[in-house]
Amino acid sequence: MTTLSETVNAIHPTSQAFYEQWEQLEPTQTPMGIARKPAMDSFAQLGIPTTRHEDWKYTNVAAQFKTGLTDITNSTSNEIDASQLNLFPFLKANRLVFVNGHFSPTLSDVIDEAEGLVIGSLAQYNELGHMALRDNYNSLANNYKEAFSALNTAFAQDGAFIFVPAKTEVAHPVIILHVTTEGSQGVINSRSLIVTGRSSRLDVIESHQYLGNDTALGNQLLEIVVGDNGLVNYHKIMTDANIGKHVGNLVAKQGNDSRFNTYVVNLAGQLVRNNMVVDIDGKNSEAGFYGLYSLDGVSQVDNHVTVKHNEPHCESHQLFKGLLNDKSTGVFNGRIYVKQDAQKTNAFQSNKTILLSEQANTYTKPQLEIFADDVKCSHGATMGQIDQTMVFYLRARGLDEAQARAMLNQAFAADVIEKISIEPLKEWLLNQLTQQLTR
Amino acid sequence: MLTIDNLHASINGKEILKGFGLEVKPGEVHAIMGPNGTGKSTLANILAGKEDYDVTDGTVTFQGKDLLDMAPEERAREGVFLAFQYPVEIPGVSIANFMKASLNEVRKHRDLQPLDAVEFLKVMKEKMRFVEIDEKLMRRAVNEGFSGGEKKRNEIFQMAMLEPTLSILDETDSGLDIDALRIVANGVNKLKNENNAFIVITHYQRLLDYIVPDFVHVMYNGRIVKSGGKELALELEAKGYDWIKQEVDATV
Repeated sequence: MTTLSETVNAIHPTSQAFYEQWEQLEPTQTPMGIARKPAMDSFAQLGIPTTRHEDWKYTNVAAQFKTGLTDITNSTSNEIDASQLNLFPFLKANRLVFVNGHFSPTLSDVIDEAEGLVIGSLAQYNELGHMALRDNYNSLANNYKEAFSALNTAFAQDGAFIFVPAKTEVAHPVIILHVTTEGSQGVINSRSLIVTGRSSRLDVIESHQYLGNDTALGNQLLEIVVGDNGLVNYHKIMTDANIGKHVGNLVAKQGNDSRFNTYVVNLAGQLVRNNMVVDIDGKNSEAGFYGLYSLDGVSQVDNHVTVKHNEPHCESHQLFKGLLNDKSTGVFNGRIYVKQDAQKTNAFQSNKTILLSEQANTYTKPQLEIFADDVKCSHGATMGQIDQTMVFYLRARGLDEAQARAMLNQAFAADVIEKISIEPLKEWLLNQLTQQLTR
Repeated sequence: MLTIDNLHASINGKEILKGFGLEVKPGEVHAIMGPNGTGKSTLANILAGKEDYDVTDGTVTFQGKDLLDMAPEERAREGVFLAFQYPVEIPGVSIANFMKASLNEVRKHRDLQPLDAVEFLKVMKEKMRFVEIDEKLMRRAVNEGFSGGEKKRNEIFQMAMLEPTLSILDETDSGLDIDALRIVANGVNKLKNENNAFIVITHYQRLLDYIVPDFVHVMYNGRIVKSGGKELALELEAKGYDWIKQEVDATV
């Protein structure tokens, strides 16, 4: 029988140091501490997925581990100049900033206050033993099947913790900003948890910023619990130049009469994997998934969405659009699962891609698994080039070819951004998109 | 203003225009009529700069310049406007945004300052009343979900916005009910002045009851085979095109 250490070692030549590093983490009796050992066992079983794994067919993430699996959260400096960051100054918002996985109290700023409302560091509230954290931490993560979840749970030391008590509407959005500095190597495992109570409301904007071309891989896991009759709008924004290496797992569960929307906008990303798994566990609830990936260079964005309809009378919408230039690659894999009892489900899915270059690649895979018999479900995927008759129409009115193409690309991509309800964020993103398309 | 001389053009090796000639002076309205498949729309598309055609012989001179040498957008900025037979739907692009970009390009070419949002809106509202088009339409995407009549009115609206020197209406009347036809024709009549000109391509005489042409040309087999005044249109309406075909075929 092989030991855990030996199994881990087989995953990667530098894994011994990685394993020793894990052993040094304090095995506390906190929620985070308790979860580490089973997660590490699971990670040792699973290993880093290769492209032979169906879910990772187009994204060679193993190649990103040449610099090792070592978690660098504690080894790098978190001193940073705020002027290097996009703190979304156009938004009045709460800000939680993490530099290489460390919470930065100086860069963070919480403006909303309410009885019981928590907007802060997961590590701190883990120590304090916050009740909602105890009840919900690691309750959604699929560590037994998802290697990156397991890795994250085994190592994670900090991230955001947001608790919104019942009947509380958080007035301003919460921006969670993850900064990765130049020269950082290995992996940053950051972990966040959001729990919202009955009839509450929260807007979250998560942004990943990479300060340089040589950075660690961000392995991020976010769990969101949406309470009955609650509303959570989650935005994930990556607009920096083409430098990031990022695997993000979002796992969420919704209660009765709840609404949960995700808006994922990638205007950059060297290698980005967005996994989203949402369980609709309450009746009469709605989930929306809106994604835009407008890419150039050698960027690759791989979106995997799974929505599980577990209860009747619910609705879900998926709309993902790709605009792929140069040698970029876009992947969309959307799965709708409708349980036998989830009658009267309405679930829709659409993936549209425009290829702007002959070297760009797109892969799309819609999956419907329906076990109920009274449902309305649809999926569709289109891919193609810009319609020349449209270009001619615009040119015949005085726009040159570049202007015409930029206008058509913008129109194609903008309708995803238009769905965002935070007006200043929407305007800023439309502007960023215009800049990208007219570069 | 416009001189087309001995124009020959083909698509995919098939010759469509076979020695087409036409002279248009400022202040004139020319109607081009003729049976289907004689090259009327090909002519319109070539004048607008559609790249699918090979011009094998002949010249087109617009205000002293070689029109065939210009990109489609240059032609538009110089004052050539094609009202499309089949206006394209462009999802996501609002008419207001599109027209603002378009008008400002044309103005730039004429050494005029671009219009700001307020000025543009004022011009746009004025021109919308002109073609009796609903203001709500302006916030919608170009032609998306428009009825046939709305699409054609939108073309005339764009024409009113850009104030072209030469307008080519490619079967703008086809498929229009009488109200829409009247609105389209009124738009043209109000825009008409001594400095601009119109080429009205139509299959039916009906439009010419509203837009009175100075000249009527009959096109058949890739060239003009008969020209006359507005009474020629009435004759065609009464007698059809067969007598023209017979006349032409007899002389060959």
